[in-house]
Amino acid sequence: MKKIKLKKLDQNVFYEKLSSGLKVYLIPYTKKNNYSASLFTNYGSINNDFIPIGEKELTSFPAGIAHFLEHKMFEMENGLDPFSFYAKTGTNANASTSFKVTNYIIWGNNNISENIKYLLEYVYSPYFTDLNVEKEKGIIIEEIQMYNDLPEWVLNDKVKENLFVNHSIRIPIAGSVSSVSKITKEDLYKCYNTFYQPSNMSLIVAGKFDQEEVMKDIKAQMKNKQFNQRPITNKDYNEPQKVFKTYEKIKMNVEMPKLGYAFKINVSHIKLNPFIRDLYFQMFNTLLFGNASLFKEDVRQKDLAVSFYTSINDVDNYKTLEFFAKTKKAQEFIERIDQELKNISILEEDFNRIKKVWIAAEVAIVDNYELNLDNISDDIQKYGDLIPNKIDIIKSLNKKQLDEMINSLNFNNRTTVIIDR
Amino acid sequence: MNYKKIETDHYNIHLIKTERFKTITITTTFMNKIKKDEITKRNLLVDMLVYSCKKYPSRRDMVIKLQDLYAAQISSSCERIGNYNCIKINMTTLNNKYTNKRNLKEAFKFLKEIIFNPHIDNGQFNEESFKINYNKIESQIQTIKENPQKYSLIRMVESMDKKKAYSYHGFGNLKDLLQITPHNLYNFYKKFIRTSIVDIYIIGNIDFDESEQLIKNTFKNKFNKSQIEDLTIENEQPIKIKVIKEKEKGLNQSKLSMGLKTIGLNEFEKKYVVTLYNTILGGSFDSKFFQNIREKNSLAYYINSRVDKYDNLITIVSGISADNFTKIVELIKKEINNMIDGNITDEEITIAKNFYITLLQELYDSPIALIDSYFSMHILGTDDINTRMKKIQEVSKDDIVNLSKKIYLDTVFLLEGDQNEEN
Repeated sequence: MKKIKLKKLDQNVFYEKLSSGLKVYLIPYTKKNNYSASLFTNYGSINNDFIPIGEKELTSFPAGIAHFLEHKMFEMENGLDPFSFYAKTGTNANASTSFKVTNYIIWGNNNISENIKYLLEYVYSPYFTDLNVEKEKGIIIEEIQMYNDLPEWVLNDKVKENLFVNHSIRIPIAGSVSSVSKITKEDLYKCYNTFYQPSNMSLIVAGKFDQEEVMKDIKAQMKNKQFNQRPITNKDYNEPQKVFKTYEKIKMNVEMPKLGYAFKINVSHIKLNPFIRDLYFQMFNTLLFGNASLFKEDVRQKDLAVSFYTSINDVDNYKTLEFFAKTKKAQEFIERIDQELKNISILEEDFNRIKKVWIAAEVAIVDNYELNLDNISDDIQKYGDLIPNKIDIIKSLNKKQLDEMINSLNFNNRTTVIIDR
Repeated sequence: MNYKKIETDHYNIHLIKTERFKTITITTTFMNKIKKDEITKRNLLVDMLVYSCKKYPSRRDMVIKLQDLYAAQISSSCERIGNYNCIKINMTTLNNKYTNKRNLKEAFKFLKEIIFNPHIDNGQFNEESFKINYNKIESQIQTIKENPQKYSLIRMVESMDKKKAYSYHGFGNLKDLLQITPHNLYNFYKKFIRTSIVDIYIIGNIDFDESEQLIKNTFKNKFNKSQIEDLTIENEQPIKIKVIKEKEKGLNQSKLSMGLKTIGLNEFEKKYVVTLYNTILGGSFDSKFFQNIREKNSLAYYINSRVDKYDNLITIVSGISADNFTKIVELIKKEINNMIDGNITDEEITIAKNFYITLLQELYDSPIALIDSYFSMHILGTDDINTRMKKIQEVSKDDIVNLSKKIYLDTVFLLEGDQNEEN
């Protein structure tokens, strides 16, 4: 077990890679009462076309299968479901599926050893039958229908569908009513066997516990099981620079029109370390479009939108910069964004202020064990490991590098989606 | 954790000292008896206060100032609590240890500006800020149907009893909004700052004397220090169950909301028994609803119930297919009757107690949640966290069965979708 100091943040992380390939990160806190554990696999809705373990051919699976699999992991052969197991000690359990990750979490304040062992037990005990797969379809179809009634959800899905031509990020995470209806138990086992190998997964525990004891229990639990450690081959989508569709209008019964305006930006030419590149990208977004930006002030004063937010996603060689706005003046709002991107100028003073803000925010995040867990989890998903010297890295950012990066970006590939009556 | 309450002539100060956090959080609460036609105004007022102020006249100026205070956060809420309206303004900043020695003092200075020195020009709120916040509130009111489950719940509660404060729309209404001007909003502010019942809470690794002094220097205003009376809403027994269906164009999934009244609960039941009752029925992922309606029958993705002690209500929500309406309502009624018939296992009770304890333990790790806990001790007479952990264990099955006979189903509301599953 390796001790890693989060520098200038008074916090340690203990790390070990087990023989099964599972990466374990323990983040003990002395002044908190509770704990939270997250076991995740690098498998989400975008991993929809791949070579199943033990096979040779690329196979395409019904959309939404990662999310379906997440639901079905709560099925145990002995009939006891994990929710009931955790409920006995007042421990909470949940799971979620995103584009790139399926995450199983528990949180509580007692029985940590047994609870973590059981987390590893149930996630590593797939049990799918024709009957229990059929039964889940009713529940998931209701879940999809719930999302279909939320205009902002629909807009988000549509923006990704129109930005990308080939890539599976085009498909909604939960799939559609017709795609999930096609899922079989055989499909589920193939996906499970490929992506739920411990070598494709990480376990993070944060909060009140003793790291030596918890690590011992984790190892004891994992010792009893045999696992594959085989490489995973996902489809290369060969995603082109251009977008699938530059404009679409969707009819929904909304009082206030919703706008999605998004850029697909090739970043394969940027030679910076990915973490630093992402920080600069975030800096660019914060300075140009954040709460203290002149752009946002202008939007408020000219009433170009009632509200808006931006979001950045990484998809293969691309970054997306997505704007979601509630506005009756979509065209003016878009023109204002375009104008901003044509004349980018960043002041040293603003750049330094944001650095100070980020350092202060880091202290507050690490102080909250749940936020810190999420933060470290994000880093492992994106960069393969945690980043122990974030504050030093933030301090080392310089405006020249940022300017250079921004100048190299191409904002010509974009899509517009409008939801209105 | 050390707690000290200081009563001044015009407000109360609550000091909570703990080494658990690297942050300091300050919450100011403003309570007033609720008036239906003032709700929209109060919503707009609190938005105006945290949006900008005389010293930091644009939103951008405010944000930059907050960033300079080491990324201090400011948030606000305007909620109904029983028969009262409560505005909360929260501010969180890093402990001076992680900033500079003056940071907390600077944070209080900022708080003073936003509460006592709003953005007033020539005897009225600044028109530009007013317009921006007005539009925001207007859009919130107009778009309420875009969260159909929330809309269904609002319509259901509204149908329960028009005379009770819980039937008022918390987000306000367009008719009242149209009456508001920068001028009359300022008059309203002047009344608000005079007549509110005010409490100030501060939590973190603080010095009691220093904090008390900072608060007293910040809050020099003479608030009206009156008692909170008739906070909770008492219900009358329903004559018959109301079943209401409303069609909604373009909706895929129908949204079910049900309302139950709790009547004549004693103090112990209100504080403890009703919480366990709700957890067992529909308040957790191991509840009777979750197990029987979702897991056994695959009829819903979510089905939850929650209890509101100030309103004496239990509400149930679920997203369903309209064809299953009758079946689901019957299953829900069956589980409610199972509670009355005492079909509750010891295990279910233990589980519900453990969930309650988990919830209490979680309070310790969140500054805002701890402040909320002291807030409800202060205004509702809730027990402290340790007492609550002990008292919950005293609840027996008989207590839960007895309570279940004081719960009455009042309204079943369905917001009915008209779309096919495949669109």
